Amino acid sequence: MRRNHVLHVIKSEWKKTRKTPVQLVTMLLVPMISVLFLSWCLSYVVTLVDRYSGTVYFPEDFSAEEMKEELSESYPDFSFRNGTLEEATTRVSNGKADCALVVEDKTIRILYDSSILTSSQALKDAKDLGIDLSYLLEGEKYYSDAYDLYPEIENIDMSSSADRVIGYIDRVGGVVGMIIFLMMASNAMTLSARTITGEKERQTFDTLVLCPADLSKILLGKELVMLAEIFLSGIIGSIAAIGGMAIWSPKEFDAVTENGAEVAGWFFVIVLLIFAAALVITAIFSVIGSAFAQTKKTSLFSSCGMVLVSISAILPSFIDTGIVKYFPLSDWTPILKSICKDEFTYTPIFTALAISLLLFGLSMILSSGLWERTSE
Amino acid sequence: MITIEHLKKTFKKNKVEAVKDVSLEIRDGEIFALLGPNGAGKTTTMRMLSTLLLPTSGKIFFDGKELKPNDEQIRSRITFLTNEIRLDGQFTPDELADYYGGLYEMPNEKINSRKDELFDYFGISEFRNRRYDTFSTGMKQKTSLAICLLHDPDTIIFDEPTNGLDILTQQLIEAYLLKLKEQGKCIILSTHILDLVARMADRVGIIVDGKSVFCGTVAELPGSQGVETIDQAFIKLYKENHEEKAIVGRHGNG
Repeated sequence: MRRNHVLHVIKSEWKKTRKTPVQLVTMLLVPMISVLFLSWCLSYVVTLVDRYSGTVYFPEDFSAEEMKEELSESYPDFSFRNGTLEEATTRVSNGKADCALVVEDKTIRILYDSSILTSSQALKDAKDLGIDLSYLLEGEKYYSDAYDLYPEIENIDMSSSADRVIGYIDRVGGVVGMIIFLMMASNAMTLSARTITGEKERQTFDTLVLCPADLSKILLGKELVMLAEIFLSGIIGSIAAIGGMAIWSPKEFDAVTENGAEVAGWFFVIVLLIFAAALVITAIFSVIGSAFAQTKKTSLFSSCGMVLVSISAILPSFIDTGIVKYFPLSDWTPILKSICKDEFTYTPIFTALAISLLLFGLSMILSSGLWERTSE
Repeated sequence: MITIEHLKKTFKKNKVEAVKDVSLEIRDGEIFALLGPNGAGKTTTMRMLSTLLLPTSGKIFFDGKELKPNDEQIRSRITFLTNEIRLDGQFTPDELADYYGGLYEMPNEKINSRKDELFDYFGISEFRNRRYDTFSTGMKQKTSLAICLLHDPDTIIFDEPTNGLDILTQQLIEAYLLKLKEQGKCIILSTHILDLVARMADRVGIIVDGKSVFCGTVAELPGSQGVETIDQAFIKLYKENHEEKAIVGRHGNG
């Protein structure tokens, strides 16, 4: 009976992994420790948007109570009152409201501050509320003089240009957490480079090619072990990240899990999707890159470009959904913002943050095999 | 018996014509030495013989059967060893034997008996549970040799097998090659050491600038060139065939 070469190679490759303690540690323990530690550090600066406050101002001769009855159920974060544009401007400027809608003759003005994450999120709902209001107001007594006109909605951004720069930092910061997750998955790339081009470099590939076994089966066995190792590493990293969020940021964790099955469900689905997509993409590209590359360096280089392209293709869709804010590592930007505002004050937590980032970087280098190469 | 007919290999990437026209005949039960200066095309020829490279043109026959790409049947009958070939450093000789034995479809009992025989012969029995990457160069070479011979191949292709080894290890390997010859195996050696050729080889093939310029017995080589020793014959053949190119070059320029 013929041996199952795929299984034979899998057993052997797994044995090889077990016999490489550096790889085991960097693959399993370091992601767990570094991600857990990182999320602890960042829990000091994390802000999660679960609720915000908006206010709708109606003219003095209009019944705000009636509108409240109509809309408060759909828009629980908004309050309804009579007031002027000046009052609304002051309220948003003072930070007492994340956004405000001001109903005027034929116009609904939305006041918000794009540099504030909560305000940006409130704007989405404010726009929906503005449209609902325009439907409700149509035909009302207030609009009887202009029956055939919908009120116009005007957005007013109250942030300064400096604030807007800080707002961009917020958004970029949201992406960084996801990139860290993707970096963990991109271990697939480095390990794959190790599998085939590494064999070529170590001159162990010829002995394998000479065997009367189907080379595709040998490669499949090697790639399967590599994928399993990466998946394991990714799962451990994810558990550490979620655990870190639950331990160090319980308020945010509760907000995610209690905000209804929809949000909580999305959180886990998105995490899994990112990992699945990153694994598949990196594995495919890595195998292609690795098969044609003569050295690990060229293999990494060729896979790296392709993985970066795929990351840039994936990320915008997640940013649009605003889901990035649910990642415990995502909002690291207050540090950067405080430096921009010249308000940075040192606390030991920043040393801890630097150490954890260093640890994370080190794990990437060790698991990529670069260390092995330089120490040879 | 192996027959090589007008073998040619051009590396498209760097447009190097490594082998231009090589025709040789290698018989069972003999040690065949492949000689040539550095860059003559010996290693490329051996890599084509061992199925690691596909020829650009020309044919290779094993017992009358033409060698095809990925020919598993022929691969199971040959082995190829160079001093460049390495094995996975994390494994011990024992584990390496199990791994490669499995890929060669060997039953476990056969793997174990071959392991014992080869490890004993090459003096690696007491290190059989030590990692390969902790071995010295000589020990690595002996382990590689044992693993390459594990499946008891009919054809053994060695590219400079004793290069960089101490005299004791060299003698051990030479003695084993003679033992394999007695068993009727076909052994192809590529070497620069003409003493080794004189001592061990039955027949010799000489390649100069990618072309085979001689194929015959070691005994008839000096006589065929009108000289007394193998060294002189080799140098004469090299000069004649290499200079021919230089003369053509001069004529062309002139």
